[in-house]
Amino acid sequence: MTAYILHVCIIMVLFSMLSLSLNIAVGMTGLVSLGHAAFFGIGAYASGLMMLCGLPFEVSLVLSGIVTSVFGIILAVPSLRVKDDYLAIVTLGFGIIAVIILMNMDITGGPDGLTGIPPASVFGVALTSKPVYFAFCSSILAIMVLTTSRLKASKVGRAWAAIRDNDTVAMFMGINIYYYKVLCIVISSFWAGIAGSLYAHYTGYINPMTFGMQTSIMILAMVVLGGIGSIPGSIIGASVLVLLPELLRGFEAHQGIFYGALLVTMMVLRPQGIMGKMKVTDIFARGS
Amino acid sequence: MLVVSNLHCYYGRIHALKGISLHVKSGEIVVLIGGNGAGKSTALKAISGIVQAASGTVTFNNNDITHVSPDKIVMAGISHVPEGRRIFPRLTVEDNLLLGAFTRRDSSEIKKDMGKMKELFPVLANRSKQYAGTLSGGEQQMLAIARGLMSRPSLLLLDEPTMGLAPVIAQDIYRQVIYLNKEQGLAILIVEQNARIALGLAERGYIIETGRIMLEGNCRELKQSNEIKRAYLGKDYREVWE
Repeated sequence: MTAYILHVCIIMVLFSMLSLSLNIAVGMTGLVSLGHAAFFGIGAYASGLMMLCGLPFEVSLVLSGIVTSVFGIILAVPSLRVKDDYLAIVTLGFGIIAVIILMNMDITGGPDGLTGIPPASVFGVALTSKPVYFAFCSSILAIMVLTTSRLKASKVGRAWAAIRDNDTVAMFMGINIYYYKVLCIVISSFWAGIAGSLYAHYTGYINPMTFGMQTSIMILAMVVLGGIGSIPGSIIGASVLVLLPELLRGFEAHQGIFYGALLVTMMVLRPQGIMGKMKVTDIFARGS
Repeated sequence: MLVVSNLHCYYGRIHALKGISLHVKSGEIVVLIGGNGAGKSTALKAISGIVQAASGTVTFNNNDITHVSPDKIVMAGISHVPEGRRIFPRLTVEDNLLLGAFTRRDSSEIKKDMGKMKELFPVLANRSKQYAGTLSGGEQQMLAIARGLMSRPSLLLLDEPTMGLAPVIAQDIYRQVIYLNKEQGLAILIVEQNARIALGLAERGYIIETGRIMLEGNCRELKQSNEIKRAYLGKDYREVWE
């Protein structure tokens, strides 16, 4: 039983990272992404492959974040010329392409995925036991929360907020909006890559379907439910959406219905999310 | 200090500016008058680098800034207050002002300037933490101007600062504009639809119609010109319409 609770907790922490990293793009900068799970997947595969090649965990954890950021730049440079709903479609396409590539490459193991990914170990200490791994992931989430809240309160965060509110006027202020948008994607994808790496070494097995559109939408739902632009909201949103299916297990066949109905009710009653101040339409319906 | 010569701009296939030439000397208020769609705002946007010029040049303090990015132009000392009171509604008054100083790095001086803005526009003084979107129209315009001043410009571009405001508030705003010019020597280029206010305010003026400068000169002379009287000040209005 404890093992099961710890497992749910670890997944909660990993999805908190994903929803917080997506919130940096969606909530803080107004860049809506429907392909965030692709970054999660890129980080997972990068880390898994690096460790299978014999790199130590510490190195592949950090490198997987960096590799994912590089993919973030590859996506951002051409696609940030469009915004709002168009950007959402571009990122949706990116997510689909990423899964198809993972599914068809030999090095990634094709549709079967990667197996036998070694578990994490830091400076010779194996993190195989669940409580230890939970503590490790939580401390990384804590680092992420700290750096993100520092960023949010800094000049960079103000530039992001200005771009989110009105990117034309942000240009009038002398903000290089292209630079700050790319920076946002780099940071957002870095953290998603780290979450991917932690996931890969936790499960030891990854396959492309985990990183598809369904997961992307799930992460976006966590952001919206928790509150667009809110850091605690990201964690609460992720925790609720990971916990809910577990709590609804008793309803067996009707689980999906309750899950869906709860989501609908919450969004009707509180469209700005649990902790947020903005609605989804605030991101899309901006004057320019 | 600012010299625009033979500037052409396009929006897609629409030829918005068809060879505009104008200049602003330091410490001067210059006004650009014209109706809807005449190209007034485009001219300002081309100066501040938001809209790319197809041909022609913009020089500022003898440096060519025609194809310089908007952030570098702000750093060079030109600040553009966009039309329609475009403040950041979901950010606080304080954050709006800080964003105006985005290109600056001297944080202690920025703090001092925030204090100055609150003296200049007392309505902003007690509202630092209030969301800018909750301010009234006139207050938002004052915030927009204050935000524009936070970059410490030597030339301020004001795009229709009194559009949609009550006459009393418009007067208030122009009183501050004149103060900034007289007391601080700030050069100001104003775009205005209301020719009566504009000509009373500035030293020199340009009349722009469908992307071309039709008339230019001293405001006193412009006010006397029959053409201006007819098109912008309502001369012969009675004879024709009543």
